[in-house]
Amino acid sequence: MVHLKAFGSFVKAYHSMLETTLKLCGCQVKVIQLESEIYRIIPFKNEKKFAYLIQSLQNFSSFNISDIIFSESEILISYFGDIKDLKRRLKNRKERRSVSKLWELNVWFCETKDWFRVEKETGLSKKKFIKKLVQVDFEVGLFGFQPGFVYLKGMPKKLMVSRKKTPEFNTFKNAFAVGGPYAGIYSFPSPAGWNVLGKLLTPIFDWDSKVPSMFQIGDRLRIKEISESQYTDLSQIKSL
Amino acid sequence: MKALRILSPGMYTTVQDGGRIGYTQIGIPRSGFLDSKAAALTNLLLQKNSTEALLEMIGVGVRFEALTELQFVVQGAECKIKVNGEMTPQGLLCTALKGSIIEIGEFVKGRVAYIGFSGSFNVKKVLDSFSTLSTIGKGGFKGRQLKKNDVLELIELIKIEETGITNSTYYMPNSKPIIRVHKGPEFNRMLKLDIIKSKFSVSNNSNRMAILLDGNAVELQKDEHFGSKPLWPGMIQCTPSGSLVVMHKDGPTTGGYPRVLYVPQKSLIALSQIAAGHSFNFKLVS
Repeated sequence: MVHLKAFGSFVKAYHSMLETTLKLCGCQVKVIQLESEIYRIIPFKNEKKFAYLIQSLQNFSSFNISDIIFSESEILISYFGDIKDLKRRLKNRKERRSVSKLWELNVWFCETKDWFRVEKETGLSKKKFIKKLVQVDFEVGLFGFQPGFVYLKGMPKKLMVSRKKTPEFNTFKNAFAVGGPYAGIYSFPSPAGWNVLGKLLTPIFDWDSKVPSMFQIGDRLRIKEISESQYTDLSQIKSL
Repeated sequence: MKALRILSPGMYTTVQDGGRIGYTQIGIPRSGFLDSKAAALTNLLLQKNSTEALLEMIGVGVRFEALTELQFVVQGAECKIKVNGEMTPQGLLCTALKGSIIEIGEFVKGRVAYIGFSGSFNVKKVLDSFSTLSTIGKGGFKGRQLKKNDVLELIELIKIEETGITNSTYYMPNSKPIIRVHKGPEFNRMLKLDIIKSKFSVSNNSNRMAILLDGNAVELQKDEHFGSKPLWPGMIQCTPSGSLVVMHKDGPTTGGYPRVLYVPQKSLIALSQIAAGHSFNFKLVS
């Protein structure tokens, strides 16, 4: 009899785990269990609070989360334990949220065949486009779709250039590109659907480091134009 | 110590282990064994932890020369293992003397097989894992699949004592599996649900990033504002042309196509073992 009762409560607990609503960091979310340790977290309404939750979850190892994937409207976590425990862990965390940093990114706007698309779609010359681009305050939006790719939010409408219908050539590594409402960085060679405009002086990704990405979501970023000779000279100094 | 020289690399052979955990946040997939069950059995017979590095072979097995005396185990897809031309049973600890030629050959049944050795591969860990992520050329053996004439080194080569297992401990992939599938997050975007009941087959173009399915095209309700969403191995994305793509261990961490179905991890292992060209049925479970 005791056995049955225990089993009954287990079944009930399991079913109530399939979908539950929670308030995490002040954000009302729906938590949906995909499988034993995989959960999807979706905001109810408030996107601003959801962005805050994302920033709070970035240093996730202390919350018992083994993997986490962020997107603007959904978080996926691999989490062992009771999901309600996550709420308590978030409440008790020492750091309120990760502090966003300000970065300056040195880019050499080399000649690429995509400049033609930029000039055609925006009606701006390369020179004028760069002049406006370096004034933009970018924010690290998210990571994905492939390792070392970063989405930068903040592209002004006037500078937006549509993505290509079919990805074209293999980009060089550390490529700066723009596509639709985002700017982005290809850390590794990849077929590119975005418009590649320049080369980064410093890689943003270090495989030998415990923390491979120097950015976190929410970090702010500005582009600084460097010339070809500056790029070549500085690259040589760095490789010494 | 130099231990094996690859004479024929098979179709797609890489070093894999339990995977790279904790880096999906920055777009790095977990990678690791496609069939963790077969891999765990291989390691068990080698008296190692279930997540230790092995060679993972897809489609066709390797042929190599033993540059020293080797003990090895093969699990997963059914293959015809030959040591110096003589058939050797699968799923047992085997010994090959220095100079022997070991051939795994084409698989009889299944798509993924593992070979493990008594020692450990002398390769560097990248972000806590030995798994190869060849899409960006990192991890495993030189960040890539094995090629002809590659020489692999093994360290900590110790002789494994016979465990007394005399019968072959071999798990055979199911040849006619029914793949259990759950509703995906965007399940309701599918216009005709009957399509799930139709037959699908594993495309030749499948790889460690994704299993591509051949079958009837799935019709979708349009949504212009659908942004990038998290992906996880087992999620099935539906492309604009109506093809189903099952995300796998080396796949992207985010994607912009609707995730119409989800294959739970147990079924994903079964799906991974279906050879290219073979068909199967889904079973939708809630």
